[in-house]
Amino acid sequence: MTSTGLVTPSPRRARRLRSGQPARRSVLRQDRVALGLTIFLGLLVLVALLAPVLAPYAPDETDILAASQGPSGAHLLGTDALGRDLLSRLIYGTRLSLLGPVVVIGVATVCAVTLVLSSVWIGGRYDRFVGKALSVLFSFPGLILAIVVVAIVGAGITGPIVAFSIAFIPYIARVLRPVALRERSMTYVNALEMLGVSGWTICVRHLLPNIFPFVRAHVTIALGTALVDLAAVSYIGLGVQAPAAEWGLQISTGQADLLAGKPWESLTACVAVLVVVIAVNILGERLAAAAQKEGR
Amino acid sequence: MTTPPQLSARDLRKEFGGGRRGEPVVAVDGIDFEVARGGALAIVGESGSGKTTVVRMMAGLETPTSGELLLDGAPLVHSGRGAEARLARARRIQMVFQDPYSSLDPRQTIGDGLAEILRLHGIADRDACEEVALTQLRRVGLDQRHLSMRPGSLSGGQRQRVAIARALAVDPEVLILDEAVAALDVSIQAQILNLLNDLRAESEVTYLFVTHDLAVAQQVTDTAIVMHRGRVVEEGTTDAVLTDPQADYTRRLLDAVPHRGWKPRRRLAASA
Repeated sequence: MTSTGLVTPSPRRARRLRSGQPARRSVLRQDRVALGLTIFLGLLVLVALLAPVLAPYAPDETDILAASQGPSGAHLLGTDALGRDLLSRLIYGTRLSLLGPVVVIGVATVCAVTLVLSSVWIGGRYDRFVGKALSVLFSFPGLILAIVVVAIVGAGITGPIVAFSIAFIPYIARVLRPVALRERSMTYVNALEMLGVSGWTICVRHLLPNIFPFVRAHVTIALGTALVDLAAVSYIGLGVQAPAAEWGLQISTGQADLLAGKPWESLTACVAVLVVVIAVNILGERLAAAAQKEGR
Repeated sequence: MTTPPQLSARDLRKEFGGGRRGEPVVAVDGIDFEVARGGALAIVGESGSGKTTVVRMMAGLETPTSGELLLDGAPLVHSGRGAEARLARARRIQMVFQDPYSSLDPRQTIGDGLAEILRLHGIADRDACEEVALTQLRRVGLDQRHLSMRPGSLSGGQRQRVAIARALAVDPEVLILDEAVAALDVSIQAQILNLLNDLRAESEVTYLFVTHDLAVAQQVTDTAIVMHRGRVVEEGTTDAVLTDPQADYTRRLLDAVPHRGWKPRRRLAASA
């Protein structure tokens, strides 16, 4: 409500107001840090897609004579115990390490948003039931759920992805519910109802776009948590299996070298996880702050 | 009155709370009123007198505890599922809300918002939408430029006019105005009141005008009821209520408003 009496907006503002997605463009335009982090994450996705082009070696190419080396001209980040190039494995590792969290959070977000909007709209017994179900789900630690699912479907990337997709629903739903409730109580929703607009249309075309900045912010933050959780599952040997390249697995397989005083394999993967998590967290916080500010 | 009452309330009552927590709060305590087709009724009273609760019940946003609301002699039903029932309901009653800042979707342009309603009610198809939306906007004194704007770049008065245009787009039988001008400054208030009078002259819409300001009520309405603590304390033509109030409460309500020749009862302590 900053522009109460603004009858003729500045040209720049007017352009933004007329554009289809005012929020996304304005946040990134106003916030250099958020813009930089978005570009960084975009580049990371590019690295994952272009791994075969960027990596100097094949990820599973072993050179036993050059095993467990430190950084050198031939191997910029050194090699692992089997003589595989660590930089190449890190680059290829981007694929599984990012794909997992993206799928998990994608599925969890779609489910959470659907549950939150429907329960806020319908209310009553259905709302209470959804609330209870989410509380029950919330009490299961994601890691335990992942171990249970892996016990059923076997080790691999599928089990943990399924488990965390479910485990993350209450995390996202919990932060979105109050936002959706507040939006539901806005007068314009009553007005639209009185004008004969259907509940479905109000939810999809009015409530969803209005809570979207919050969805985007919280989903970004959750992405970091999911990345750590999936890496942890791989680390304990239940997720991605060797010889595939994945950061969590890499931290685990590097332990032997680590104890022998050669930290390169574990260290590089650790740093990769850390950098991505910090990046998405800061971006998420920035988006959340912008959403908060934008909210009336 | 020659025309039969179009809209009437019979012993309408609404309680909030109650049950295990103790005594319920009686917001509306058995009121009756009638408005003829094309008429305009003011519901006047101070905050907490129950006037908003009355119109929220008419709008279907609250359910009466007892009593009935009739439109053309039939119960004003707010239930009924399906698109047909929803649209028919929308064409019976529309409402302009008190707060113009939250009554429009902040992410939808004014044109899109109007077009959505026009298409929904089959008033205009996709191609004609913008044209019709513009006509609706012109009716409330807005123009082409406002079509592509979002509520955030409009003033309170402009937003309220958009809300009125949107409510009138479906050509409702009854239009409820809940303190619709209270949040606006005086010059815009006058504009909107004139607009409402013009609109009533050209269509058969019935107004239900909720306000705490009798002077404002006089400009738009023919009859008035004065509410105090959930009851009707006075009713009659708006002019009569304003010029020759019978109830004590109405007199006090009128006295509380500064007017020409008005003197405060007590001087405020000017200095400490």
